Formats: sequence, C-alpha cells, structure tokens
Amino acid sequence: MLRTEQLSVSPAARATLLLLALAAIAAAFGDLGVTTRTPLFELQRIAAGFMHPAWLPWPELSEALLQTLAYAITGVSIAAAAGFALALVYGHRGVRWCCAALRSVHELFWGLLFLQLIGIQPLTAMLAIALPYSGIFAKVYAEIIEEARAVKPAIIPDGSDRLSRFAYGTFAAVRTQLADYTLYRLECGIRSSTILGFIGLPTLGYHLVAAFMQGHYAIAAGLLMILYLLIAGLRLWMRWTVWPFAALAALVWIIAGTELNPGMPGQIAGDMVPAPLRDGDVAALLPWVADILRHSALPGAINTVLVSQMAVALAGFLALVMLPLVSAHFSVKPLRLAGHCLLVILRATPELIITFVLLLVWGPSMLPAVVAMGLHNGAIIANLSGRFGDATRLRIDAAKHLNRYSYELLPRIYSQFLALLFYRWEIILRETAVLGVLGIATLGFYIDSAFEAFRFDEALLLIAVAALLNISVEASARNLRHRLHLQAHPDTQAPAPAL
Amino acid sequence: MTGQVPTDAAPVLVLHGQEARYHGLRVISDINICIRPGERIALLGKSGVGKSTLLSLIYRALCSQSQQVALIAQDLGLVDKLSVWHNIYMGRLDRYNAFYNLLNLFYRRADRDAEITALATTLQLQDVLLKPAAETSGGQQQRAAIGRALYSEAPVILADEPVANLDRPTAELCMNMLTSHGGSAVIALHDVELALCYCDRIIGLRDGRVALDCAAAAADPAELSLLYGDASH
Repeated sequence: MLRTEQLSVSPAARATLLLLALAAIAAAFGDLGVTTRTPLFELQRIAAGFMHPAWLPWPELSEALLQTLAYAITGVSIAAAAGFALALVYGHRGVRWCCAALRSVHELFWGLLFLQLIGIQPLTAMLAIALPYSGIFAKVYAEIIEEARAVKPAIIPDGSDRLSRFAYGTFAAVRTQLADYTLYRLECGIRSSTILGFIGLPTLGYHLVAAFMQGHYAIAAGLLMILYLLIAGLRLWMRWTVWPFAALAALVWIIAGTELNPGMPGQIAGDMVPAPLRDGDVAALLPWVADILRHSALPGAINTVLVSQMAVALAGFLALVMLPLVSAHFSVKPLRLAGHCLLVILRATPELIITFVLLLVWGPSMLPAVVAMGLHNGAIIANLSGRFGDATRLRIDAAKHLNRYSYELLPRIYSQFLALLFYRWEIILRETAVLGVLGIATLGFYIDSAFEAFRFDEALLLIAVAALLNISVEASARNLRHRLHLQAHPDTQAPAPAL
Repeated sequence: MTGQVPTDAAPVLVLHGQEARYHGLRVISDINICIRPGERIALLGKSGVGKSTLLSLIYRALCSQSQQVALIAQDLGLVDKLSVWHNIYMGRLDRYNAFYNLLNLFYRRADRDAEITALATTLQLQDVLLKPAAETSGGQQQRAAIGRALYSEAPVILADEPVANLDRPTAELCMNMLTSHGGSAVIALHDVELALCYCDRIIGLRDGRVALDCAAAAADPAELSLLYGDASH
C-alpha cells in the first residue's frame, strides 16, 4: 500500500514536475520524426570518418585557424573591456537595459546583420562577437563584484579615493574569479567564432560545414579535433602576458583586412526601415507588422519554445545520468577520466554543429535540435553539479551505488542542479532560436529567410521578437530561481577548465 | 539497568597491541581491547585525547570483518535536505534493494512508516518527522542520527558524543535506548555520571594511551577524575 496523502511536495519537486509537464506538452505538439530512410547508414559513415580523421591542406587550415582565433580574441577582449566598464555603472537602469538588449541578440544574428551592412569582412565577425559578449560580461562581472561586496566589505582607510578603494578592496577580492570567467568566455568566443562559419565567414566552421555537406566526414572529424585541442589546451597556449599582444596584433590585422564600401551601410540601413514607412504610408505599418507576426514571428516563437522546453528536460535528465561518471563519490579514476573526456567533447562542440550532424542522420525535424541541445547542456550541467557534489564529504559508512546516488548525493546537490538547469533554460532558448539557420522552423529560420529574400525590415523586426523572447525568459528564469530560493547567480561559476 | 554480560561468548572484536592514527600522526598507542556481545562501553577522556580516532579504528576493524555496525558520528552525517523520516530510513539502505529504496524516497511504504513513526515517537521526533533535517533543532538532529543507528538494528553501535546537545531527561532517554537495543555499544562521552549509569564498562584515554579499562561498578572515582585532570600531574 502506498501512502501518498502525507507526501509533502517541496518547491524543488514542484519545479521539477512543472518542467516535466511542460516538456510533455511540448512533445505532444512538437515534430519529433525521423525522416531519413537510412539513419544508421549515415551514422556509420560519420563514425567511420571519425575513426580515421584527415586534415585539410595546411594553407587552408592555417588560414581558417588564424581567422577563428583572431575573431575570438579581439571580440572577447573588446567585450571584456567594455563589459568591465559597464559593470562599474551597472546600477543604472539604462545601462542594465542596454546590456540586456545587447546580449538578447545572438552572435549569429548580429553576424547576419553586419553581413548585410558591411559584407563578409573580418570586422563583421569581430563585432558579432564583441557586441553580445559585452552585455554578458557586464552582467556577470557586475554580479561577481556585487557578491564580493555583499560577502566581505573591504577594510580600507576612510579617506581613500574611490579608485584605490576599488582596486585594493573589491577588485583584489574578485580578481581571480573575473580572470577565470574571462578565460571561460574566450573558450565560448572560439566556439562562437567557429559557428560564424555557418553564415559564410571563413572560420573553422565554414570548412566544417563544407566537409559535412560533401560527405567528407574524415576531414570534418579532423577539423573538430583541432577545435577540441584549441579549447582543451586553452590554459596552456593562452597566457595573461600574451593576451594583450595577441589581441592587439589581431585587431590590427582585422582592421587592415577590412575594406568598407562607404555607401553600402547607409543604403542597407535604409532598407531596414519598415517598408510602409519607407513608402510614406504610415497607415500600412500596423497591418505590415501584424502580417509578419502572424506568418513568421508567431510560428517561429512557438517552435522555439517547444524545442527549448523539450531540450531543457532532456538536458536535466542527461545531466543526472552523466553525473555519476564524473563524480568522485562514484567512479573509479580511469572511468572518471573517460567520463570527463566525454563531457569535454560534448561541451566543446557547439550546439549548432551537433544539431547539424544529427540533421544529416535523422533528417529535418525538431528531434536533432532537442537531442543536440540536451547533450551539450546536459554535459555542462553534469560537470558543474559534479563539482558541487565533490565538495560535499560523505560519512565513512555512506551507502553505495544507487543508494548513495539517490539518498546521499542527489538530495544534497538537487537545488544547485535546478538552479543551473534554470540558468541553462535562458541559454537553451537563445541557442534554439539560432538553430533555425539550419532549416528547423525556429525563429532563426524566419530571420535567415527574410535576409535571403532581402527583406531586411522584416528580418530586423523578427530579431527584435527573438530578443524580447530571450529577455522575458531570462526574467522569468530569474524569478523562478528566486522563488525557489536557489543560489542566486550560478552564471558567475565558470565551468571547470577542460584540462 | 545493566544486564548480565556473558563472558564466555565469542568476542565481537579483539584489538591487540594496535595503534590509532589521525592524519598519519599516532594518537593512541598499544591498544588492547576486547569487545564482547551485548557489552556497553563508555569511552571517556578529555577532548582531543583521541576518542573519535579510537572509534573510527574500531569501525574499520569491524568493517574489515564484515560485521554490521551503526555509526553515529560527531557531525551526525545527516542529509540536510531529506526529511527526518528518510534520514532514519537510511539506516537500512543496505537491507533493501536499491529500487525499493528509490520508491521510498517518493512514496513512504506503510510498513516502514509504521516502524519509523514508532521509533521516532519514542525519540520525541513525531512532530518534525516530515521536516527536512536542516529545519530541525540541533537536539532533534542528534536524535534523528540516533534514530538512524537504532533503525539499522546493527548488532554494534558506535556513537561519538551522541547526547552532547540534549537536555538531561532527553539525554537519559537516548542513552537508555542506545544501551538497551540488545547489541553492543561503544559510546564516547563527556559525562561521567551518564557513563556510570548506563554503561557496564569504562575505557579511559589519557596521554595517548588506554589509561583505564574496568567495569563501571568497579571504577575508582579518583582514577576517573584523573582522566580529566592535568596531564603533568
């Protein structure tokens, strides 16, 4: 006999049930079919390619590497500097809104925008990374500084000026945390720079797409391995003493390599003004907006939400499954090392690339997007939850195996796990919108189509819709975390270094 | 309240000339202890003398002989986020299969519920039984840890200052339960009076060795006070 009447449902359990219910509803409405006739065959071919990776000819490879790194380093450096300055004045509402707007537009959408304005230029890639990253840096830096001030007000002589107060007090306390986060963002920047190849910028991603499209899976595997090495070895090849010089050199190179057509930005910007306004017909503006909302924005937004709800639930599930692999409380060392390798690979591969590969295997539906997002984000959550878990010491007579997992470990880390999951929810939604450029009917699909049809006004409106969606989910996720009394800022925790 | 201890039964544990180490440093040397079934031993001595270290030595020795032991550590080792009920249930995680345990995490089975409610009621925990351990008082947490050990029904209980946070009547209640569960108990204590009242054997530690090992009834008050006296004496 079961006794359910006394079952007390904690806030964490309620949040979990809500999450699962939303995912179930999304699954009922979403399209999760497999449309390729021989999914296994394609998977075998890809696997065979990965068994025998091949390398792109050296001149092309070195060029792509250089481009990828140059965009990442300059974009992240500029964003870090701007973000730090903005973080110092983050108390102002206007600054906060400005930063929220900057980061609500994905780097790929910024890329598409600048692609129209200034063409396929190094400057396009750099700006596409620098703008959204500034908004992210500002927010996270501000949270780190805020946390440090709350925990430990610095003891500084009363008469000291504000700069010295900051430099010797708060900044000294958070320096390493800021540095860790910045380095983690450089890792993200390399990924962003890579995926800018999907919209035509000549980075590693560009060659990756070409290799996959032509079925050259061995070369694709080689390119991915180079990406993994870059990311896994980040702390080995990037030193704080080298960074400024590398950034400066890359900046000079980017500026020298950019040829601006002076007339073009103005003309394109004109095209981004809604067509009715351009024609002077203000009365037609409302129907124009309504039409776009009904035929593009609404279906795009609904699909984006459906995919991300399923992806969040899957990410949470996969994280809980992968957690024991990397937890010191479970795995023996060799197994744990293999687990870490798996997580690093899943984390280092951009969602867009995993989705792209799964699209080749399963054909167009929401399934590749959901699984790709689930794997990538699940790996990140497993890594961070594992670290929380390793920080707890178990009693010497603690239970073993599944009992240890369900009674000792999970109850202790579950609220942190949920906080991470809700934080990833914002990120998943932001990324899901972008997956549209691969043909899945999320917002990115409609944005990409509008750009391709030279309807720049419509594209801009749709980007604004995507931005609003991101901002509202960010707000509700924050609200939810707050209501569940979860740790306030899980985003100030950079994932553990890959190596 | 002390029962007869059969002296001819096979001992639960024999330690012969062993030493106990804490972080690689020798804390107690030349330990010769024999624990018989049903024996209730109080471990006395100043704080820092090595009572916890000796308890963990005994724990490891018992485990290496695959004997069932229930441990009440000084930091209690409760899972804060789980209810008092589940913390008590955890005493038997090794008795049931993992899926049964998993089920009990969400739906408390009626037969287990009856047992645990009865035990918790004697420990005066009935009002906080479904509260997360973190939301209960220090004394309630201590009783939850005692409940966990008793629920396991292990033949040996090792307890490290199990009644330190409890008022006198509750401490007496808990000591009574820890010493009348039918098995052996080794209990590190501060309180000499409780030790003499509820245990039938006293082991005193001083200056890194076992300074006293005698029946509680035969313990010399002068020797007992020496355990807590100045070492240079």
